Amino acid sequence: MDSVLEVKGLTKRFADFTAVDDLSFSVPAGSVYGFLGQNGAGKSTTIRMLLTLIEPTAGEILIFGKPLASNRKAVLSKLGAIVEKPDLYKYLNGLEHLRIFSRLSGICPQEAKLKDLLSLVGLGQRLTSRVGTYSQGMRQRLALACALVNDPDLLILDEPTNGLDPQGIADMRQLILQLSKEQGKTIIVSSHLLSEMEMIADQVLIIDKGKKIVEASMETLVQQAASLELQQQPQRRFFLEAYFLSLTTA
Amino acid sequence: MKHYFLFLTCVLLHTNLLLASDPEAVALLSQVKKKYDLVNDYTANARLVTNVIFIKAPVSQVTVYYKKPDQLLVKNQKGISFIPKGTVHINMNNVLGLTNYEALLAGTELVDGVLCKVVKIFPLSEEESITRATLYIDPVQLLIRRSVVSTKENGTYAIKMQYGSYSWCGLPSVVDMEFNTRDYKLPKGTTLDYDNGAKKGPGLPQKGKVTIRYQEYTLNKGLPASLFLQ
Amino acid sequence: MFFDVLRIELFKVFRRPRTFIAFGAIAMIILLIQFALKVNGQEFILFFTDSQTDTFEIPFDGILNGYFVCVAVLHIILVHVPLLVALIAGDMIAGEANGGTLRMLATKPVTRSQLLLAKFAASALYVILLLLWMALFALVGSLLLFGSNDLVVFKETDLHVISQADLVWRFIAAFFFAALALIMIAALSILLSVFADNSLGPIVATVCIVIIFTILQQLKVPVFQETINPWSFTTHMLGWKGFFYVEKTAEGVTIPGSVENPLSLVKSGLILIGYTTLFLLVAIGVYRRKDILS
Repeated sequence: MDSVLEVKGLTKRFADFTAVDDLSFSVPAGSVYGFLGQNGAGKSTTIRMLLTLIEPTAGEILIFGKPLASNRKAVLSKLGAIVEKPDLYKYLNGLEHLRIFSRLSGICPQEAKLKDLLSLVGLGQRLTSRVGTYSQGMRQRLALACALVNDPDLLILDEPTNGLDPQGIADMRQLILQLSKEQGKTIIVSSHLLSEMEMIADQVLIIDKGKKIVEASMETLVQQAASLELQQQPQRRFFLEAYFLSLTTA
Repeated sequence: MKHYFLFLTCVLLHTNLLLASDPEAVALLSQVKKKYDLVNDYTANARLVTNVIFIKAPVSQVTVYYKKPDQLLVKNQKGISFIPKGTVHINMNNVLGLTNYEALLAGTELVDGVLCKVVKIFPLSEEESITRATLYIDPVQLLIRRSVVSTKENGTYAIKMQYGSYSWCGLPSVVDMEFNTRDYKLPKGTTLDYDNGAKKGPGLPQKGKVTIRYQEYTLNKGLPASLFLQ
Repeated sequence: MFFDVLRIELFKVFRRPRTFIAFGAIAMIILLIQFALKVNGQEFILFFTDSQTDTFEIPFDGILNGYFVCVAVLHIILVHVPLLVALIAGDMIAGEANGGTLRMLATKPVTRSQLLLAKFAASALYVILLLLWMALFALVGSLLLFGSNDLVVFKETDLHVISQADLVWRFIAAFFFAALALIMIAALSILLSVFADNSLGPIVATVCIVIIFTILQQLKVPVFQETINPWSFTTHMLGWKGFFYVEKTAEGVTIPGSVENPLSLVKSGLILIGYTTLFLLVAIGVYRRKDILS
């Protein structure tokens, strides 16, 4: 399987603090790639570097086989992202957001497509309501629609279920799977819940203190967890989290 | 003490003698007045140029209204002019119309190449606004070529006149009037000017000048007194 | 692409209710000044001409016309408009950083330079619209209310009378120059905005900088007049007034179409453009390298 994203020796230092330390990984095309770590592990810093929001101190990022630094525009035009919480323009409505982000992606907005996209994320009934009146879950879904507006090949979602209710989380999960399986998109999803990733991810990368701990298929990871006699945990969810904790707090 | 009173009496007598009108001067004034009396009123279109150190103004098209004996109004037809308050003195009837005065001949002088007789006039009434006037009269054409009028309130005005087709009734074609000005200064702190490096005013009293170039006169058509009330 | 981004920035600026506060405030101030001059115009003019009332007939009615009122309005409010410009321009980057939308913009295939230039262009257009609005109320409104006549401008030590026929181009030039000055303020606000993560900082900082330099100018202390003031942008921002200072002939007659010392206006214009360019280049340089952590 070809890699859509390849990261080599990625490092980011803020003064004397190293947020990401010599990180290397690759994301296979068409996969859902779980990117895990505890709070402050360096997930968001890494994602921001993948999106050119932060300049790496060292290392190389290749997306679609091209160096990101020298192909920023071409790469970003085939990429969609949600970074942390979904901050949007409160004085604009959903449809206006999609129009704006279409144009910013270099696409002439087609009203019917934009409405379909809003329906896909479950906002078909709130097209023209101001975002200021949206719930947190609705904002998250609109942010996803904004990320999808350019029909990206690679989707980077930074903790996309943050702030969602159980139904919202289930809907988001369903949507991610749908986008991956039906539309063949490569999706990187960051989270700090391994059990959550188990339901959607094909491949997982776990980092701690900016360093790679594990990069493996979800299947292999579950097997490793099982072999470590953590099954005494009352539920499957808990033994996976226990395994995650054992990896990241070592 | 006795000597002092004697000296004072002599000085007063001498002064009185000096101020006694010169019959030749009075006769000349009366001849000139006769000529000026041909005009009861006039309306004239004119171009007015103000040359004052602190004023920059375009040439104004004005209408001058005059009604005997001493009413004069300069009105800008369209636009704004800063017209000196003493402009009323361009009307020579202001001086010629005086009744209680002493007049003296003070020699002759050339004004614009014309030999003029110099007549000094001292109004005797306390109520007159004019304190002293000097007229430079062309004795041949009976025209006032120049006048210097000192007033109680507005200083001294030096007026020079050139004549054209209306000289038969003493109306000039060009009047130059010089007057004293105070320097202009805005109250402090009222403005933040753009400093373009231009020279500032001298800050000293200066002479200002107004030139009125008459284009046409309409004589004796009867002007309502109400016109001068505005 | 740049024009697409500019369109988006303009769309955002004019969808925000706060944008219209400035338009409302300007309309309100102008109406108040017009009302005050309608009621007490003669006293206002007397204040400036008091030293000359003994010597000249002051044509109060003629002076108090639409053009005069417009210049009076500009004198009074143009000093305060930088605040209104800073409200929008200072918010351009910092406001988006604070609202979290900057990172969404920055992940789109638009270069940061393009984004910043589009934001600057949107601020500049906002300034121009604000000035057009001001022109509509201050000039057209005043002409309707007070009529037209020659314009009398009271300068520190002299007064200039400009005939009506020579005025329209001066107002257009003055508005353009004011736009240049306010666009420079927009560039300053955007520069400050690049360093901040909330909009209050750059707005307050912009206003403080303008106030400090204006005070230095007003102090008229030689040490500042010789060193800082010739290069201070607040000195050159007043250049719009220069279009209402005319030259005269030796006979004291205004020269139509003339401007007193036009080279100083060119110099002021170039200095303002220089500052604008400098602020923008620094802003772009900083913003291109800036880590977006908001």
